[in-house]
Amino acid sequence: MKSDTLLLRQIHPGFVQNGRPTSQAFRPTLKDESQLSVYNGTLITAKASWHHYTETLSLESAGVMALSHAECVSEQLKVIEDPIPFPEHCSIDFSGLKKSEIDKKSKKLAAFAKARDWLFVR
Amino acid sequence: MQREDFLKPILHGERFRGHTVPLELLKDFSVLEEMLVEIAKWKYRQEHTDRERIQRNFANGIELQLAGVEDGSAKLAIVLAFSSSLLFPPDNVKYFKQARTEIVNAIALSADDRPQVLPSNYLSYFDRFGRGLRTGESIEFPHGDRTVTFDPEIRKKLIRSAQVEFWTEEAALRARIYEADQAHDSFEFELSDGTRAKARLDDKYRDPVLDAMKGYHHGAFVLIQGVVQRDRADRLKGFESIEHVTPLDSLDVTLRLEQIAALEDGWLDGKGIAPDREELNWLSNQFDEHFDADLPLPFLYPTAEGGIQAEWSLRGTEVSLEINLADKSAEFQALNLSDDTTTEFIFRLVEDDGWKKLNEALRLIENQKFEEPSSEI
Repeated sequence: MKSDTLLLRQIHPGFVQNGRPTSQAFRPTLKDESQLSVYNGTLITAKASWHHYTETLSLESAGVMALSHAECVSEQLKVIEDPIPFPEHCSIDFSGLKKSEIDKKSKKLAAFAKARDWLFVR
Repeated sequence: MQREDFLKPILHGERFRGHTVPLELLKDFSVLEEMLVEIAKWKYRQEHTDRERIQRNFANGIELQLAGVEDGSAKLAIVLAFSSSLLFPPDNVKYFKQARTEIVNAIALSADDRPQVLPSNYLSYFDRFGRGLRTGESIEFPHGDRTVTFDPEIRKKLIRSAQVEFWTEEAALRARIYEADQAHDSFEFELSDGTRAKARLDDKYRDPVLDAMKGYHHGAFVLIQGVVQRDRADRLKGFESIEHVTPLDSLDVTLRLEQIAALEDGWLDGKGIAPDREELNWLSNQFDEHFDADLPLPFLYPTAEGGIQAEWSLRGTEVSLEINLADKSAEFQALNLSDDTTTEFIFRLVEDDGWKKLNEALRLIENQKFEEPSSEI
């Protein structure tokens, strides 16, 4: 994966207030088991990923934000290309981190994504 | 005027600390006097079944007066005052005393969930008496050798016993205005939970209402304060009268927590726990009471675990406060994006001191001199 590859993150509507996403949207939740799911932006556009997420997977998304591979690496977060359950699927690995470290890294990722702004809004 | 001690109710609640009584609550006691006169007439009629009419001057020369506020949370000294032209208290005074007993007894019966004795037309006065009491406030009345407590919940029970079609209460509602009819001086509003109702459009608040209507699609909310009418199922029917309409900050804490309160379990694609509504009310009140008004309001989000996360972006520092609603603890983390340093605290929001420390920590970031708050955390 190239350093400028964008990793597309779907943002749940509950995690948005007045257009601002919470840093929680950039850390794994209970369901994610230390892995933050993203789409590989070289294989799918932000808009197409939103349609796939909301229509094929029937999950909720207010829109799409993105992180680059280099930004994840700068936070010592490994990006895993794991094409399950769909070919464009990647995971950002938070395993082995303490909660306060996860919170800190999620703030950094949110800041990177906010600087890039929304790539797609429903 | 001659005076005789009549009733010493004690007001409990935050607003009554320091032995003060808000002027707006005095109108409730004016209703109490109306109720007292009508029940006194009823007692008179019960004793004089042979008389078809009440004496025209039944209550002449008798009135209730507030003689003072005594020690206690706020203990009102209400006296029965008689015209100075009367040498002795008028005979009818005994019916006023019986009426006082009937009113306090009605409250006691409601508190014990027992059937009422007072006819429903007298119970309907509770629609206006006690309307100014807020959640958490109460009035304690002496009742023989004990006391009975009158609070918004007991008032609701009394109103239900009165079997009225509609009842009223003072309310402050956060709403969006989706329609205004200037020809008929009315407007329609919508609450966060989707409830819609109508109200009268008056010149004193015409401008904020019309401005809010223009901002409907941008999420503009207003705070409407006044007296609302509800039906017997507690459904909102509309405003009976409006005192103020005020535009709301887009980050209004109560409004945001009302929106979060609408979440159901499973809100996060089947996994998120919905925050407890009572606890959200608690948090809203705590913010209102303790959060420094000079500080920027937070963005608020639900957490997957059923809590609330408050966030601020302040001068290059990303701040989060993860609030556990069950144990009222809050994890504070501030990340300085320029040097990657973090500062963390645990605050106890059930204590006033916890809020004081939160305010202080945020103020230090605002002033860009981030260091540990002076008080011990």
